[in-house]
Amino acid sequence: MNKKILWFLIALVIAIGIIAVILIYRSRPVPEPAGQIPVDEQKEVVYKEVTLFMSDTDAMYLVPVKVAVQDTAGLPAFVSEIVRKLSEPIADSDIVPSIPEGTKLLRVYPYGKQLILDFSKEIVDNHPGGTSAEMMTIYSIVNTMLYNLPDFDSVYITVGGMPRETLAGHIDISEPIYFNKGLIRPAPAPDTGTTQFSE
Amino acid sequence: MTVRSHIRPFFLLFILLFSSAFSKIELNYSGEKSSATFIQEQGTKLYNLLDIKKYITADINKDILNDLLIISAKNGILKINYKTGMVYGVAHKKLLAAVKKNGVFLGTDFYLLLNKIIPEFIDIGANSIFITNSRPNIYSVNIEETKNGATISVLFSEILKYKIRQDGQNLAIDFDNGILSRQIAHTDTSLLNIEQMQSAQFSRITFMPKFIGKLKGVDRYPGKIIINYLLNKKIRQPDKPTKTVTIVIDPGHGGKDPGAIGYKGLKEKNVVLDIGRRLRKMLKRELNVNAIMTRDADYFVTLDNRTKIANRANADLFIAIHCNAAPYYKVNTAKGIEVYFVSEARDRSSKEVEARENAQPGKQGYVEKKHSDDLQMILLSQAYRAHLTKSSALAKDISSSLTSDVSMENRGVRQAMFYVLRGANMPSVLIELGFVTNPSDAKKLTDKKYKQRLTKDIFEGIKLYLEQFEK
Repeated sequence: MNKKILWFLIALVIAIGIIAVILIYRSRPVPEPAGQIPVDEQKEVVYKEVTLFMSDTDAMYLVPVKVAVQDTAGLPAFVSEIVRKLSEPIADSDIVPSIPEGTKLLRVYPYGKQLILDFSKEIVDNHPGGTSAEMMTIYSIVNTMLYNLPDFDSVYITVGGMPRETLAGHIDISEPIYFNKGLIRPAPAPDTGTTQFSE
Repeated sequence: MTVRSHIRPFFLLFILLFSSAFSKIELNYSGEKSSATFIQEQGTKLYNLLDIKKYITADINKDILNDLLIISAKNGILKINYKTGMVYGVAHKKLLAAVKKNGVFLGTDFYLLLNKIIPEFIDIGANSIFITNSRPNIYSVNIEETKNGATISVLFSEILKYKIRQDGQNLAIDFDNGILSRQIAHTDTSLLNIEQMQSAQFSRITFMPKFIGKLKGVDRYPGKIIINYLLNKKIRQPDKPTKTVTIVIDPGHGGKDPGAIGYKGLKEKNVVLDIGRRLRKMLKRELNVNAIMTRDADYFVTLDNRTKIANRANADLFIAIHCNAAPYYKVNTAKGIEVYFVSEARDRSSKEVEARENAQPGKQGYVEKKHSDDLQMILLSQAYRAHLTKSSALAKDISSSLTSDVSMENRGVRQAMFYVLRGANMPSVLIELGFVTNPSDAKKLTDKKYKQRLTKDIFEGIKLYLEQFEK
């Protein structure tokens, strides 16, 4: 056999081999988004007390609300569960959710003291607009995360894997955001079943 | 170990063999060589960007890598986010050109990873630094005394576009994307005063002769301007203030962006345009000021371009007009008008820790009474620092004027991190006229008489401010 043909065949076999190995690896499932991480049913379900910061109906202040959140499957699942709780209305109270309907937390990335949260495009598409609503959306997320996860000092919000200037044209989210004390309701409200901090 | 980590060796192999998605370029910062790897945004997932450190060749200083996170650039502004702080800078021309060449479209966000950055510091804030990490492209200003006057030479990169404006004896040069050298601050000013202004979009040098005389001529060459003055030795009296106040009115949203949509389909973009036009007319007619609108019809203007318009006009005030919306569509009780000025709640100091520790039910000191006490100011630039007090005063003047006539709940003066106000090189406020989602507010915002009264109140607030600060 011609030497050239032999070398060609050897190269072809090696190339096919490499491609086959790559295809095998690629065919393996990729990690699920944070919000869809299945909880190991064998593990004992653990609940942790979490303070949510949710908007009052006047969109003036964030009100702290204590809830129990499942904490079994690691940080991404825990954070996803907190976001889900933040999105739910609380019956018979003067507080409202400020996460736009249909918003999903796609990914959670701890990076040093920064918590990177990547949301689905509904957080933009379904946002009602207005400075107050936008502030409530952002700081409801940021204050809740930083209050309950003391390992982090800032939250960086991305949408669909990409950074944005704003969610609805007002508040700057192009950089990490820090805890905002000024938005927390200063005075105890009438009995609403929610937790209040007194001065 | 995740499945993805199995793929990494092959991923690296592909990068090395078929590096079309990653292109390396050589940069030059302040005379020292640096290299950068660009990762195109298209098809690149966030987790790949965060893991990219692992794909970098071994000869890179690990300490520098530890400081890196994500660097994004937009419209020539470089933002570097690293563990110990934020850095803002103006991207080097070569960097921007390389980005264009490598297929990342300017004007959209992209990420890049720098192996080494040697910035020239301009301004250091509490937790932020304003830098230029590129060499200046306006190199020097030299003033030579001649027999009967002075000759000024301005040297700059010949690719820079510029405009020259003359105002009596004074002459100003505006450079697009110019970066002023520090040398200019040390120019001899025995014959002329020199004023410098550096913004992200452009830079300005203004020459103001100290002696009576006239501008003889301006000669333009590639990368060089020669200005000749005839001056006698009589000291020039300061010009009487003839400056016309310029106010930029910025009706929010517009075009494809309706802003908030409220009760009975009321659109924010239409309300704010109407009020903006009324305000412009009133300011021109009653105060004879130069009132400019960032949009005077229903079209979209980017947030960056809104302040660009104001900065280029050298405006004295920037007034953004918006309408508010309730955060939850099922509850529309939120109502009222409020006036904002910009803040930076980026305190990473012990304040958060302190807040977290004190945030126990019944514990004293967690909640403070005033927003101004609550929000830690991080000063982004010298301009921001200079205008903060005036912005606060303008917001208070407008807010206090609103209570007299307008029968809408006044939510007072507040602070927030507005993207649109960050780039303004002048005092700026953002007025939220009311909640379009609230039936009562929405009804008022469609009533012509109410809108005229509301405009009049905003006008009175601006007038009050001008009487204090722009006399």
